[in-house]
Amino acid sequence: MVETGVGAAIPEALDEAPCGYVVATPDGGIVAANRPFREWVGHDAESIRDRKLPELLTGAGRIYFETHVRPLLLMQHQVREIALDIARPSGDPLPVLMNAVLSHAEPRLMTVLLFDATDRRRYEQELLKARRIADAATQTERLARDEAERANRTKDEFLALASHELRTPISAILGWAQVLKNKAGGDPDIARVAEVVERNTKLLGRLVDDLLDMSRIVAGKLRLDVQRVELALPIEAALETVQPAALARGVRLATVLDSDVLVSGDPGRLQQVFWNLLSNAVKFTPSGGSVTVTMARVDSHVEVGVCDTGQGMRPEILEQVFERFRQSNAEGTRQSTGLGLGLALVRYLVEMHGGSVVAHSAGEGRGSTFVVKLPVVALESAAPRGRPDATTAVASPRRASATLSLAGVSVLVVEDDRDSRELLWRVLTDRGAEVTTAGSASEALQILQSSRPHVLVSDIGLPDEDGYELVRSVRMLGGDVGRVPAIALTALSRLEDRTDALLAGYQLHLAKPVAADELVVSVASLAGRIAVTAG
Amino acid sequence: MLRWPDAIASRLHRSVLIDLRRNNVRVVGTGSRTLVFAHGYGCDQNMWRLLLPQFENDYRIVLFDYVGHGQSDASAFSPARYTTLDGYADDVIGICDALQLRDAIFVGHSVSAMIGVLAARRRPELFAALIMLGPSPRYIDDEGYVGGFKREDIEGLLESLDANHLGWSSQMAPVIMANADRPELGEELFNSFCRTHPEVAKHFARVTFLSDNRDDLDSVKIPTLVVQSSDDVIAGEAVGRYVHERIPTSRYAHIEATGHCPHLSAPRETGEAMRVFLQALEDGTLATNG
Repeated sequence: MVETGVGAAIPEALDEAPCGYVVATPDGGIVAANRPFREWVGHDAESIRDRKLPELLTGAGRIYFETHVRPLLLMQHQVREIALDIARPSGDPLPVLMNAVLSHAEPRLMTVLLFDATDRRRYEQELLKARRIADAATQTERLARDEAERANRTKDEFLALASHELRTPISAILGWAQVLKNKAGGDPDIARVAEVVERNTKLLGRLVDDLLDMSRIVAGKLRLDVQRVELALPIEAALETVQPAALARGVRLATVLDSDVLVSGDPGRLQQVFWNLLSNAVKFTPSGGSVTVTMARVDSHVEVGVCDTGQGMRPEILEQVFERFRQSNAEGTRQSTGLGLGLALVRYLVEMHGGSVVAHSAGEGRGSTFVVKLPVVALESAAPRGRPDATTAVASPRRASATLSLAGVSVLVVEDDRDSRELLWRVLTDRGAEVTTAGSASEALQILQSSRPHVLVSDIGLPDEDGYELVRSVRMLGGDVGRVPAIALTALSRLEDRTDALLAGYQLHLAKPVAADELVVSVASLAGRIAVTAG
Repeated sequence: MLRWPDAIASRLHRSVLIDLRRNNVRVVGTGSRTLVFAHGYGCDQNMWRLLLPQFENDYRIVLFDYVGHGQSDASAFSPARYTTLDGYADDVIGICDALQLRDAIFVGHSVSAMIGVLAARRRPELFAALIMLGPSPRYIDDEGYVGGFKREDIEGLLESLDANHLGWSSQMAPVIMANADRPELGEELFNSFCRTHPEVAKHFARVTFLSDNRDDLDSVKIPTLVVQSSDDVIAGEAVGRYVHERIPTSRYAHIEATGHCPHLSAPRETGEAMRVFLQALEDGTLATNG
């Protein structure tokens, strides 16, 4: 041990200090210590001088002192806030915080300050315990979240794979159903079976397409084929698609479209948007209700509203309806079918077009309105808003036509779509009309060889010869038959289509989907029956 | 002449870099012989700073930090790899291979003395001799063996590590402060002394102080120097003698310097003991149990 000769160098005042104060040689040999320290370790001023500081620490404290504190002191001559335990004679360790300085000048002495850290250590132990618990909880939570995310990813991948795999058999079924239909010959049972299979397979295909689109969106793989689109076109195409369902449910479709609105978008995807909104609206609207599509320019945007008189929604689920796999039915009563993907797809697709979609409802039983807002492509010459002559409204007052009878009126209906044809037939026969149906222009002309109906009602989009050619052929027949009043039915409601129809020889043009009442009124009018009943 | 394909060469190169970067390897000094200095528990390669001036003119000197210590790549630490001291010995072997060392002299402080034993047993060609400063093959007392500690002491140490790292992690700077009267120690260097990653430190403490390498001592067949200081509370004199007795090819050098870190507290005396041994090694005059 270094003989320092400064044994009594500690001022007496330090005996009253609230901390331990020790002067020691670099190897820890104690030269002097104040009273608080001596009391901690059970030594008097004399006996303390035979001891070394590390010996007065617990085993753990000794290891820490030798492996950390002493090397640091020797290298940098100072350590601060080291946690150590002093071994008290009672056996209870005393937690202390140690600060120490090792002087460079001779005599090289270490000055050590030790603070009782009992409370602090207890607090630190609590903190460590709390931290461990928190870490464990975080870890558990993270694992659970990872697991959930992984499961969700697996599900999305599975959906993508499954829907992709389903498309192949679906297209095979569809193809063969069409073959079967063509081969049915005169057997109505087989034709009917084939048609039912075809129709349901198409529906199934659409559901699978929705699934596939959703997984593409989730995977960020959905691409838009963007071009300038006259917005009315995809809406009309969508209307045409849902028309049979609307007719079947007895839901009236009304449209107020503006043909001059151009947007930048993918026509197929826009049609999908409106098909989803419309089929949803039709699905949730009870018989006798109506679905109205409106279009309005608001500044640089166009707002397309799809408004129904259906069951409506509670305010709290208005936002949720755009979430995946969410059915907006009233809880428990699942009256409608679907995957709950349609509206989620609508939102994704609309947002991909730079637009937005919101749902409004005055509450349950009070109908719903979905408004799609899309940016409009600026035209060189400003287009007038909502030109009245471009509007095809189908909104006959129900009461006025409720009693209208078509008794004694003969009608020839030309429509290639069987569901639509059956519907037209039913609507007209229900009012007493004698209805003959034809599936094509040539069939219709054949019928007209031998009979002269009061009114001809023809679809425009017929296979082979279309409705324009049919009416031209009829007018060329001459005689009484050649003058038969004719009504054109078409999903194309643009002004030029209407003009084309009238130029070709039709007296009236009705846009699909046609409300039953309007059809009845129109037929009655052309048959000269309006004056009778209204008078 | 045979040439290795570039792909193999570059892969080799990359693995060399990985070993060297992982352990923050530094090579200083000049000489035909190489000394590999391995720091002990609780510190890093800085602890050799006072000893180096005595050797760097005659030896090539390799310094490194164990993973999680000093400037090593702490992200390379994995509890699985370093479950036992063998994992640390693997790192030593990796460093020697990266530097293509043969017949080097391994200088290990404290626990590193045992890491050197493990590395030499696995790859005898790497080391021509071992120098052990304050070695201990087992810290906990056992029947007929006095290591100096009880198991509770080690548990207590692990707890106090928690307490210290709690302080260190929240306020690292106050622990190590710049010292005005040693201007040559810049602040940057100051703050780098003996920094250890808390988790690694605790893990290394557990592996070190719960290890028992007594039987591994029998594998040592090369000249070995046991440097034993006075009053070493970590590895006492009885322990140093035990190591010496179990290695027939060892020399025992007792020095007056006190404490567990004689290379810091008495670098000159420690260096001198090493020089005597190294000279005898060169001269081929090492007698067993000398």
